[in-house]
This record gives sequence, C-alpha cells and structure tokens, in this order.
Amino acid sequence: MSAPRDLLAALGRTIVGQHETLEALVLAAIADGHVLLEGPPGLAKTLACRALAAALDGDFKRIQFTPDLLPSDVVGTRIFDQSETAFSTVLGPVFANVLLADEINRAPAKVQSALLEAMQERQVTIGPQTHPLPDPFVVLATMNPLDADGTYALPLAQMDRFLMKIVLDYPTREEERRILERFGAEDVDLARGVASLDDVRAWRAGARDVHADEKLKDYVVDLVAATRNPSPDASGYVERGASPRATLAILRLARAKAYLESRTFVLPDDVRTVALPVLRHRIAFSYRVQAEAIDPDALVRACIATVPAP
Amino acid sequence: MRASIAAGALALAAALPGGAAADPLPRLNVVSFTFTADARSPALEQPFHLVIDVRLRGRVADLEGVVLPQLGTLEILGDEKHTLAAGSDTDYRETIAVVAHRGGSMRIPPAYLDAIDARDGKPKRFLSNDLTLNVAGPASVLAGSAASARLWPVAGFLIGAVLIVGLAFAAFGLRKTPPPVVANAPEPPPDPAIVLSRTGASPDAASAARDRLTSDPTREGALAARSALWRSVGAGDGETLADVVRRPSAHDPALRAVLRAIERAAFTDDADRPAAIADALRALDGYRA
Repeated sequence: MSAPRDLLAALGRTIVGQHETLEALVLAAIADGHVLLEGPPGLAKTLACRALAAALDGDFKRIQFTPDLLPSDVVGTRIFDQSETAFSTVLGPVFANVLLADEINRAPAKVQSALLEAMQERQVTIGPQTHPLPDPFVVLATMNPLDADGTYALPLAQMDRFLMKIVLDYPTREEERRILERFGAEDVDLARGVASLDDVRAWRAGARDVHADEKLKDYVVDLVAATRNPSPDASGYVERGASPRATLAILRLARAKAYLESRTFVLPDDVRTVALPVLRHRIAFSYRVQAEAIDPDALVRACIATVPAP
Repeated sequence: MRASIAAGALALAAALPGGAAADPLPRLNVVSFTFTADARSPALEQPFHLVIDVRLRGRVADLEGVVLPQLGTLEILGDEKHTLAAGSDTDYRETIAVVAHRGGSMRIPPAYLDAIDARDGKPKRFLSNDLTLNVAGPASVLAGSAASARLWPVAGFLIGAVLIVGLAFAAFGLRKTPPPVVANAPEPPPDPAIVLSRTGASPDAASAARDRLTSDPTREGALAARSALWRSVGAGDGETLADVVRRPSAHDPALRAVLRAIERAAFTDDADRPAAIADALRALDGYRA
C-alpha cells in the first residue's frame, strides 16, 4: 500500500512550490473532505487538481462554472430515448473521483446548491432514481478573488461545506525560475498511479484511528469558541463565529495531518496548523473588515493566538 | 482597535529610549528572532558575517526597524537586507559583514525590534539572543587599519617599557632560582574563534525531567516533564512544539530529539505510552551525556 507521503511527493514533482496547497489536497483525500482554492489565475490550481487525479488513478472531471450553467449540467438529466420509448438517465460530470469546479462563484445559486448538495449527501437524485457518487469523491473548487464582476458570492452556509479553504499566492522568485525550467519547453508528464483508490480508503480508515488526547479536544473547542467570542480588539470585525462543523473539521484534519506524518497521535501543532484553513471561510466578518482594508486572515490568526495550546 | 493601537504605539515610543514618537509602529507577528555568526574560526583581519533572522507570520512587504546592537570593536564592512516570502510567512535576513581588529572575548548585546504584537495588539520590544565572540589572537593588533596605525608610537613606547621592566625582573629572578627546563612544551590549543552563547536546557532541568518521568511514567508525568523542559528553554505556556524548536535556545539537535520524544510521551495513546516514555528517557540520557 502506498503512503500519503508518496502522493504528496508525486504532486511536488509536478507542481513547483505551493506546498500548502498540495498538502491540502492530500489531507482532503485522507479526511474525505472538499477544498476551496482561492487565488489569482495562473497559479496551477487546475494542474494541481489534474495531478491529484492522475496520481490517484481516479476519474477526473472539470466543470467551468458560468452564469448560464444549469443544475442538470452538473448532476445530469433524464432524456427521452425514442428507440426504447422510455426515459434514460445521463449522469453529469459530478460523477468523478476528483472534480474541479472552476470559478464556482460564477454560477448562480441554484447551480452552486446542486453541487454543494451532492458534496454533502454524496449522492444525486435525478428523477425517481438516486445515484451514489464514486468513492472517494473530492471536490476542489476554485475562486478568483480579483474579478468580482458577474459573480455570485457563496453564502456562508454553503462555504461551510468545504472542509478547508486554501489561499494561494504568487510564487517566490526562485520558484518562478524553476517553473520556467520545468514548464518552459514542453507539457509536463503527470505522475500516474502513485496510489490506488483502495489506498485512499485505507488512509481514511487509518486516520480515523489516530488518537487525539482529551486536552487537544478541549483545545479544538476553545479555538472555535474564540471565533464566537473574539477579543475586544477583534469583536467589532466579527459578526458570527464558526459553526460546530468547524470543530469537527479541525479534529478530522488534525488526525489526517498526523496520519500524513506517520504518527498515531495528534499533536497541538497539528491542530494549530489546520485551524486557519478550516476557520477562515466559516467566520462572517462585518463590513468594517472591507471598509478598513483589514486582512481577514489576520483576524483569524489573532483569534487562534488568543487560545493557549495545551 | 486602531485608536488603541495608536495609543499603545505612542506609549511605547515615549517609553523607549530614543523612540521616534511620530513613527507608527508596525503590527507584526514575530515568530522567531535570532542572531548568529557564520564563521566558526574567523581570524583577525578576516571578514566574517553576523546574521539576523526574523520570521514573521503573514506577508510583510518590507521590515524596517530592526536595530543593530553596538558591535564593540568590530568594524562593519557592509550590511545587506533581504525580505522573502516563505509560504504564508515572511523571512527577513540582515547580513552584516564585519572584521575583528582585536582578539579576545566580547559579548554583543541582542538586536531588537519595536512593534505592535499582532497576537495581542500590545506594543512590545522583541529581542534576539545575544552573541558571545571569542576571536583568536592577541588582545590588540596594531596593524591593518589607519586608526590603529596612528597608535604605533604609543604602543612602541608601552611595549618597550614592559620589556625593560620584564627583563629587570627576569635578571633578578635568574640570580635566585634556575629556570625550569621545559623541552618541547606543547603549544596551547587555539582559542575557538567564535563561541556562541550557551544554548539548551540546563542540566538541572533535564535531570528533573528525567526524575519526573522515571517516578511518574504516566501522561501527567510526561506533561509535567514537558512543561519543566520548555520553561528551561524560555518557552511559555500556550506555545507549541514548533514554536519551541524555533527558539535559539533549542537549536541543539539532541535537545530537539528530547523535546519531540517527550511530546510523543505526553500525547500518544495509553498503549504506546510506556514505549514513548522509554524513548524519552533514552533521549534525555543522550542529551545529558
């Protein structure tokens, strides 16, 4: 059986830098969750998702979200087959092991809801039939923070469905130089078949058995509570804190992180490392954050910093 | 919040010596702040480098305000600053090329940085570690710079006077006792060129941690031993292992092995704990040795 580290190393051989993103993709596979990727165009978000699908030997589908997209374009539809004189079901692109929902905020709410419902229920109902989605099923959705025109912001309740949100930034000078060397001449070959879908299922089972000490569970609860009762300095900027789903997500990801690092127990560092990507999209910030050009991540970090680690 | 930050910044500026009250303090989350030297054996008149590293959480375009300490008799040849993004963090490195014109031991006080601590919004002075240098060679070398060249006449006079007095004492001594016969006396070992300040947990703390783990091989005992060791390297409650191993006082690989082993002993499950504690005790013995 392959180890999750092998998968991470394979992704690292394709993508230059972006370590946090690549680790998030592997953690999502281990923790059976979905990832929201936010970053400007051209930062290899799509390539990273393709690399993950290729390395996992799974099906990869991509949906480019546009304002005229319909729910049936995502989940599938029923068409009348004249030769059979009956309706038959055509499954949509959501039936894949790794689904890239590109620019998810460019589609209207009903399309977003169709996808997010599939993410949560892991099944799709088309007409009278219910179809389970493949296992594993990982959705990697991207959002471009620069072009806000013609977008439909995801409601907080829908953002909550994503296990974590990763914010991508431009590469360093050295990384960009390596990108030139790696991708300048020809298309890069993706590493294929590094791990099987059975391996991923085994990782998930292994991560569920990772031990989390009682003190760490208290730490997780305190972290999420700190977003609901922020410090006086931050309270004017936070409208609503994170939900209990965030509490569950932090512990699940902390276990996945420990499993990725071949440990059978969670450390406080695991919890603190995953707290920011779990919490940053689950907190409702007030208008003052935008009006005063405050970095929301700085507020989340401040909340995390107020809670002493065990 | 801004009003309180501004008030805090002004209060700090007034409190700090030479603080510029008009300049607002930057709001920073300082993760680590270290002061090191790159050469193990710098000779007199041979340039070497002092390096200040600051790791900041989050992206910071440029860091200004790192104040260099007084470098004593070291002559500064150049100063280079770089600010680099490191994932979601920022690394600031200042490299100061220096040359020593005088041998012997010297202590360089810490560098410092005044800023609003982003973690609690309070103005603080962040200090690096200090640095103890022991440059091999005579306490005074009177060549190699224009300033020292001007001291030649004075030095010549002093050396001459010392030689005359020394010869007089030697002649007096020769009449009293025969000189000891020393054949092929071994040369003293050369001084280490640079001795960094001692880092790491004190032997007492390591012993106390070992005693605690031995007498109480439970989760509580492991947590208590962990707490004692962390305090001895200057770490406070509420930090994580990643914070602790970034401290200059925990750069010793043997100490890091101890800290990691005790972390496992404190947070692993009950079935694995006896083995984890045994590993921690072995690591402690290795560190104490």
